[in-house]
Amino acid sequence: MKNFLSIGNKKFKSRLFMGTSRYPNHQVMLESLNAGRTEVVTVAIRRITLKKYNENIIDILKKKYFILPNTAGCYTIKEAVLTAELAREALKTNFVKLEVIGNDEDLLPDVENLITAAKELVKKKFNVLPYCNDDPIVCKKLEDVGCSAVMPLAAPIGSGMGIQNQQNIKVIVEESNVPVIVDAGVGTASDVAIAMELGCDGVLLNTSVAEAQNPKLMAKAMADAIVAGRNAFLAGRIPKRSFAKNSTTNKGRIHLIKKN
Amino acid sequence: MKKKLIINGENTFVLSETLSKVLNEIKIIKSQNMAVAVNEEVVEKNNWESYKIKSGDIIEIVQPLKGG
Repeated sequence: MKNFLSIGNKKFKSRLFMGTSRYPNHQVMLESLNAGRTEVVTVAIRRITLKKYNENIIDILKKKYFILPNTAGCYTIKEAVLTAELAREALKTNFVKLEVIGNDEDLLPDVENLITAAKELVKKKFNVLPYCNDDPIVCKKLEDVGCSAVMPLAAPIGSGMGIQNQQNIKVIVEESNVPVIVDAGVGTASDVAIAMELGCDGVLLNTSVAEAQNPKLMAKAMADAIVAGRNAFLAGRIPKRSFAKNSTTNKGRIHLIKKN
Repeated sequence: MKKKLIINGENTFVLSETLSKVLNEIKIIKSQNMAVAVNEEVVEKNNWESYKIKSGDIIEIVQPLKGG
């Protein structure tokens, strides 16, 4: 049984990747990451504010977690590539969660530019984990240009709607030779369990935990759902039938004689 | 003579000659987690001391922050 999630030269026991944004405060974030039993946390790369104290979260996070920088907010290939290069310099990692967004209304990936940016970053020796549409063809193209994983969305970022196209995710899993990590749009634990039952290798989430009424408890629920869904996938579910099938045999049941 | 730079999108005037000194002049507390690009090229930390800054340079100074 394959117990580890391997991406590039890294092996992870936990299949839950967690974002670090939108928590009520620092303490709740750290407790939630802990409750989520995650190993990989994402961070953004942003300009420091001149003439002002800049919060430094990395020193705390990097003691315990593998830091995955993202290129959130990048609209062009140039911005995304430079952000990834700055992230590599800042964090000494070749890993990047590549985001190239089409617009700030729906935050959907601009797949044309995403594929080109991914190709460029692979050439520059990055392990590219692209946030992409739940489109099997796009995922295949991203794999073909050398991405280390593909990260199709469940639903738009922060929407909490869960997996909108299970069939597509299933096809992506079946056709992919690199890990498939569902990224974005998860709302609650059952969404995570479904992703894992479909055979995904992991789930990346943020808002669903950070903005839950009890983030720490939701993080635990997500971690439990990862395990439950993964085990269900490995166990192999029964096929769906459109008719009933008794689970208890009729043999030997009592049989009363009807009186008139 | 002061050089006019654009640092993180803001017009900034400095006297310093090197990147390292510019960072000091604008009172940036240097950290291992920081990264700097000049004219869209990353300048590695080892080269900050020697990297010469010229008028018109566009500098980006970034660090990791909370993100999803």
